[in-house]
Amino acid sequence: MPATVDMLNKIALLTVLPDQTLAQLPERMVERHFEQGDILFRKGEPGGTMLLILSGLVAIVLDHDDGSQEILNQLGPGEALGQMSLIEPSPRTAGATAISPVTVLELSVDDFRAVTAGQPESVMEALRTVSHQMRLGYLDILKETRIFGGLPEDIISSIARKLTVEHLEAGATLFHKGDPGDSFYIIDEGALKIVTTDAAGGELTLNTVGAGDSLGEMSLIDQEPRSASVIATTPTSLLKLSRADFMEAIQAQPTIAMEALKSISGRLRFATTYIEQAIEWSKRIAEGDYSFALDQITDSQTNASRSQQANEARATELLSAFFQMVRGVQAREEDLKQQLRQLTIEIDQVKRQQEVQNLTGSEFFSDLKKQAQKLREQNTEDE
Amino acid sequence: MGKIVSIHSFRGGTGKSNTTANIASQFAMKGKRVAMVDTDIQSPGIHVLFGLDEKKMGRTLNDYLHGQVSIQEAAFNIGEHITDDAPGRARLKGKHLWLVPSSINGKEISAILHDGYDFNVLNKGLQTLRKQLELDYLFIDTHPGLNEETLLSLAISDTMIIILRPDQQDFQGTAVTVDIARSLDVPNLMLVVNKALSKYDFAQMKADIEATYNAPVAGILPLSEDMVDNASADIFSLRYPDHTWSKAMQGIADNILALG
Repeated sequence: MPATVDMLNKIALLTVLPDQTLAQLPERMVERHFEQGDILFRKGEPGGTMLLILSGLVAIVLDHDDGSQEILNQLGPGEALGQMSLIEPSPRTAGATAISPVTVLELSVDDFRAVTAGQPESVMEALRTVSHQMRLGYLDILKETRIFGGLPEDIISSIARKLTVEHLEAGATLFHKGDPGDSFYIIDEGALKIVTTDAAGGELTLNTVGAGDSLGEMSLIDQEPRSASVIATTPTSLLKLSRADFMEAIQAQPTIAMEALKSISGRLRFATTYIEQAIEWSKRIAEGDYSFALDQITDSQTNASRSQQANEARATELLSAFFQMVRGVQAREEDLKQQLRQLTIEIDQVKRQQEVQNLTGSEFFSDLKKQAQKLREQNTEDE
Repeated sequence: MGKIVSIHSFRGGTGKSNTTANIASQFAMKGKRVAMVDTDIQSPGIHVLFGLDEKKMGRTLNDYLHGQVSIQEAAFNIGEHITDDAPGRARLKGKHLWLVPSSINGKEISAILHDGYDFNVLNKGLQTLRKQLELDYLFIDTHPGLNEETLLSLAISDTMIIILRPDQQDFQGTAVTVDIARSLDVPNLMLVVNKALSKYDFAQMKADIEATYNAPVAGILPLSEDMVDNASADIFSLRYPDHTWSKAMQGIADNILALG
């Protein structure tokens, strides 16, 4: 069965090409069959062809030195392997094995170049960009985000082409609270903290984000200034999408808007949970119940990576860090108080006894006592 | 029959007069019939707190000891003679509070110190006052230290309050005083710690001091800048009843009252 233009339009790299060009490809594609367990290609073998799966399942695998095999991905009908080979042939980055009987259509780089020879430079440039980004895994990153994850390959590809990369050193600020919100970010590598300042001007971490998380949707949607500052806690690389491009993507695929809303809704739910927990904790601590807080305090990972934690767990983690600091302050105060609170009362008992003895042993005192006795008796009589 | 309460301290500067004035005022506010006698002839201090100067004072303890007047004549009725506008003191209007002040006239002071006085006369005066004014409580503000007069005051007292600062010299001196007071069979002995730095744990201090002297602590008064600011111009615990110092003072008054 030959490939159709529709099928080809669903392949990331090929979406760049106009339909007329794509139409020239099917006749150059060769059908091949594999049995279950057959190896389509091995890692390291020279690349140079793209394989479009017509039927069956193919596992992308990585063989480790210890003999174990890691399955990186599983591709099925309509999906393609080795797209990047069409732009820049290079050794296969992983192996491919048929998990079931498989039929593929193979396209060589030479045929691809022949077909694309007359294309304008802009198209060639786009091809190179997509290929590059695929190599960098941008498409994969987009696929893993909540907002873009479920989208068709061609949409993802078109969005990916608009991404730019930003690198931040640990401690650098991505944007400040109050900055105009003009871009949307996806974290490729590293971790960042979302912070605001408390009443006293101290930094308050609201949330942490890591690889795979997205940032900045709110500003893209409501155009208000950034609601918090974001600071990298480790060296970080992010993919950035401008507001204009984001809006264009929504127009092309309105479901993106829904996904963006879901993402924001998730943040809101987190915020609500966070606030609830913060109130609970504050109440306990105000009552002096630090044991509750201590039980909850765990070593929170500041490098929260693709976190599948529930909101509550996440809120707890952040509150732990905050209240650990509070507890630290309290402990220091206690220590200080402890040091100062010991008012030492040193009585020289020997000296004391001597002075008392001196006084009570004197004749003066015995006279005094007699006088005192008389006075008391007198007073009692007079009562 | 009215209780005699001696307010004593081993050293000067512990805040005895101020404490006496405040405790007595608290008692008066509770409706008790209270008199204060300033027997610290060398350095009288209570009159200032009630806005009395030489002109307003009238007759003094010195006059009585010299046989010039009766003790009642030397007793200034504070409740009836609130004249100035000190807000704390003003609250004492109509209450049963008297003061037998000591003269602040230099000549009179040196005369008495030189001649001395017969303690029996003082005692008689106190007993008379107690009866005539139908007192519930009679506070004796003593001269600091252990001398004949103070010892005799202790001897006739139902309750002795020793004021001390959290200070090594006061600690040592108070230890001797406590022993002496016990040897004189004073029925009740309580300690008041004054001018305590707020950094101290008061509960801990109370426990430590009670353990050291084997005597109850009626209360701990914090060192207060507000008090210093007041500068003896008014009865602080009446003027600022919600201040921590005043609350501590009210506690002390309650504890003394509880002794019966």
